[in-house]
Amino acid sequence: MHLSGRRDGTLFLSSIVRNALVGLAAAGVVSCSSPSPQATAVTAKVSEPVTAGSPKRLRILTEAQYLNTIAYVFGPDIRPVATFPPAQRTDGLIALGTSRGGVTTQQLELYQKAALTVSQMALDPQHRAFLMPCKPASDAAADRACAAAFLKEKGRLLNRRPLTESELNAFVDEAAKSADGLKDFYAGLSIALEAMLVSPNVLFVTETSEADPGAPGRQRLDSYSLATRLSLFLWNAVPDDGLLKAAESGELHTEKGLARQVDRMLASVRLETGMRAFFDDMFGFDDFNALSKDATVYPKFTGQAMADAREETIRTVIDHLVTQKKDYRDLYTTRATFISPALAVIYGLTTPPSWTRYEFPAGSPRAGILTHISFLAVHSHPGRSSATLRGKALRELLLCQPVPRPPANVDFSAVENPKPGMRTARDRVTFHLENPVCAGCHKITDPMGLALENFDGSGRYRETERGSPIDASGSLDGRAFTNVAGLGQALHDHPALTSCLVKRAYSYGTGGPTEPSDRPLLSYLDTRFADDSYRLAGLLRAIALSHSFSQVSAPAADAARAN
Amino acid sequence: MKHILVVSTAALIAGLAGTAAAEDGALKDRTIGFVLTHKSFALWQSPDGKTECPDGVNVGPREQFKALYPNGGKFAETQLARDGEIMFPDTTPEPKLFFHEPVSKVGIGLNLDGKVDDNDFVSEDGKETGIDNQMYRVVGCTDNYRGPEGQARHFIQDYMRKFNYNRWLIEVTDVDDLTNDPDVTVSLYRGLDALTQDAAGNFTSGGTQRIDAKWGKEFMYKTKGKIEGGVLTTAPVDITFPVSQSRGYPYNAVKDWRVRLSLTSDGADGLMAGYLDLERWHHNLWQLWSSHHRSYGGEPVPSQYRSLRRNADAYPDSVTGENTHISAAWAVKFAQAFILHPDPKVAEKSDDGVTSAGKSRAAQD
Repeated sequence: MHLSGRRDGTLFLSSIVRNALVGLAAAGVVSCSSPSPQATAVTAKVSEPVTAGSPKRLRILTEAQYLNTIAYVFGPDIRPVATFPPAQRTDGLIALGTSRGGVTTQQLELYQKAALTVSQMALDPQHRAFLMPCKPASDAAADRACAAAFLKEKGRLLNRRPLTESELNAFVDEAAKSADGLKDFYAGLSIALEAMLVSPNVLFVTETSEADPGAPGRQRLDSYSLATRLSLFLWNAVPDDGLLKAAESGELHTEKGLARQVDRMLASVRLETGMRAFFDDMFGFDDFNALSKDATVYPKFTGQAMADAREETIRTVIDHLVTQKKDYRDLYTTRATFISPALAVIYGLTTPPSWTRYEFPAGSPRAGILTHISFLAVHSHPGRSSATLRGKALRELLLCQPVPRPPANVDFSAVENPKPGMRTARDRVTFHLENPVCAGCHKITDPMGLALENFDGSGRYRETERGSPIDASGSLDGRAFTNVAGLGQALHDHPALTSCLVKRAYSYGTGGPTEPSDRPLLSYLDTRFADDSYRLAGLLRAIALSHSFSQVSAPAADAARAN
Repeated sequence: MKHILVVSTAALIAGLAGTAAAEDGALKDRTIGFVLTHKSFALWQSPDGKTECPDGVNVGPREQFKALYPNGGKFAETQLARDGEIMFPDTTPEPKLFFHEPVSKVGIGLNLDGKVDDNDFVSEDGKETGIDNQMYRVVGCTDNYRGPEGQARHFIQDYMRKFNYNRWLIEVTDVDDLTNDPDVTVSLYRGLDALTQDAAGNFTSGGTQRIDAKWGKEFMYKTKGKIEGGVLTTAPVDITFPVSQSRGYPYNAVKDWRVRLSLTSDGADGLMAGYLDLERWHHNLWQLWSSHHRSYGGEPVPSQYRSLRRNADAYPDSVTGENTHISAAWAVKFAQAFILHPDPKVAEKSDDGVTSAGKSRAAQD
């Protein structure tokens, strides 16, 4: 009986998915409709420049966004095993890859498995007691009114807008048919919920626009699309009831109303979840998922140390930027961090058996998140450090300066089988700078990476390599330093450090890469960021309240972007 | 030795610079801690075992029972009687049974009494004489204790990994130099935390151990020591130390306990020795090691008890004049560990003082 009902449900949701996917494919990944841009006024010290706005996008929810959403809608104990495939990193962020590519049948199967788990758990006897807004007339038969009440409430949150009458009726019909067939109200409702969870309207974020009455000729995101864009940006989850109410009432499309909602979101505990996702993405920490170290070379770099290294840096970032609201640049010089027992073994520190706030003493080589085990270990080889990988990561992740890939026929023998006299990494990479073919790229990576050579491939401090003292001097874009503390300070003072965060945050928020035409806006945001002493909340607020965030670009502007 | 010198140089550089090298150094604030990772009776074994045990190893309770009662008999007169002898052993002769003791003069251990007696052992290289380790005679021909795979050895190591109640710490303070320091202080504690393991599952240095300040007060001791050529030796002190697999007394008691340990910044390796309270040790043994363990390890407890009493060599009872303690030595290994002391102010205020104090101390570090 159960199987027949499940089969019905599966067919139902499959047809929804198929129909919707056809429709989405026809719409294309990015669609736009808007007249020419228009100047806008802001009340800040500097005015937001005229921009083309940002394109409407079609994105698929990431695994984290899906899980956050499920937790917020049904409760944190409803957590399916959801191993959704990651998107392709685009312009420095995985989040930007969610608007590219398609969905395979295997991927759809993963969504369906997760949906099955969620729908069954949410309506099991334990959870239905508080998740159901009503009690059916009979547990063994359909009850359309009660099913509709549940599906309407949860459907609004999952779809990020109220369900249309026809949509709701379709789900209620399925719940009723399955309940009667299975002689079980909750089993029938579960099938309808499962169908909803795999519907494209839930899994995909489809931004839609409307005419902007405040800017004749312009298009803006409609209120529900704006609510979802804000929520994914700041919370890495779908909107809550309050944000949807603001969208429903039109509050979001008023200047004060939008500011009120953004401030509420910035004050919410969900901001930490959102910023964890953003910085994990910006720092390329998905590399941890494929990280491995040679246990004979780095025996203390355990699996727990690997997981904790990622957490250490994210904890530090959240504490510094979100909790204490400090200057973003100071992340690269701060001695404050958090350590766990597994990390303490590598750091050589005493620690109780839990996460502990810790401050490296003055004069310690550990200063700034560049000297965290995370950055040092991820950007190293399995058995040795890498000045080049570290320098490259610093350029690309923190300064938004892409480093070209090495030529296909590069000769690695000098570093992999060094001559006996080449005792330190500096000895081994020197030939890069002597070889014109290599020097072009290596001169922009190695001088900074070598400043981190006092840390081996597992992030452990060392003063010598193969018995030779390590020279950790270097330079960053003309600023010379003698050790890693100097590198941290040079990075702290580098103008690209803050502009890179601005660029990443804006593109993360709007869901796509920035373009040359965005430069005036980014420059404006840079100024706002500086005026606010480089505090993250101020930057997020400036982006969220900018007209470019909510206004959508015209097809012509998109064509220009494409060119 | 070379490694020790390198460490010493690094520590010196750290001291001068006051910065970098101090971070990863094991010696901090003139203190270095260690946590026990291996302990077994120090037994000298020849390659084939024939030198020290020419008549072979001992048999277990099943073989002894068969020798005593080849034709069986009434339950009360056989099995129950034998159980009684296990639980209440005496020193009367056992004409039908045998017990093998090592006959070798070579042994491992320390000279506890400063004398060279006839029954003392000599080190394999002949350089050390007067080694007091009569416990070797008691357990040296018993598979349970012989390496590399004796049952007792296995379970001691297994429980070292699985449980924390047998965690044992040595902290050396007032250390100016890990290679040579004529005056250091050695403190003993029970620890609270699991042993730190590396990526391959081996015990490794660098972990943190909290002191069990609440239930481990009976394991806190302090003595003096010195370091010569990287080897730590300590002045005798009466101690108890926690042991695994004990359902009776969760510890052993040793008089005149001392160590001889080679120190590095990663760990310590060597011997500890002293006079073991034989009744307490035996009580733990028969309470814990059920017949199948004694059988697999060939350990005939009543016969072994007679050996214990026969070889006991210290602390005679004031009334009977019989020795109550037996000289013993253990091969031990320690991994370097940072020892976290509870903050007495916090500990006084809260039952959870250890954890709170630990956090407080870590913040200060």
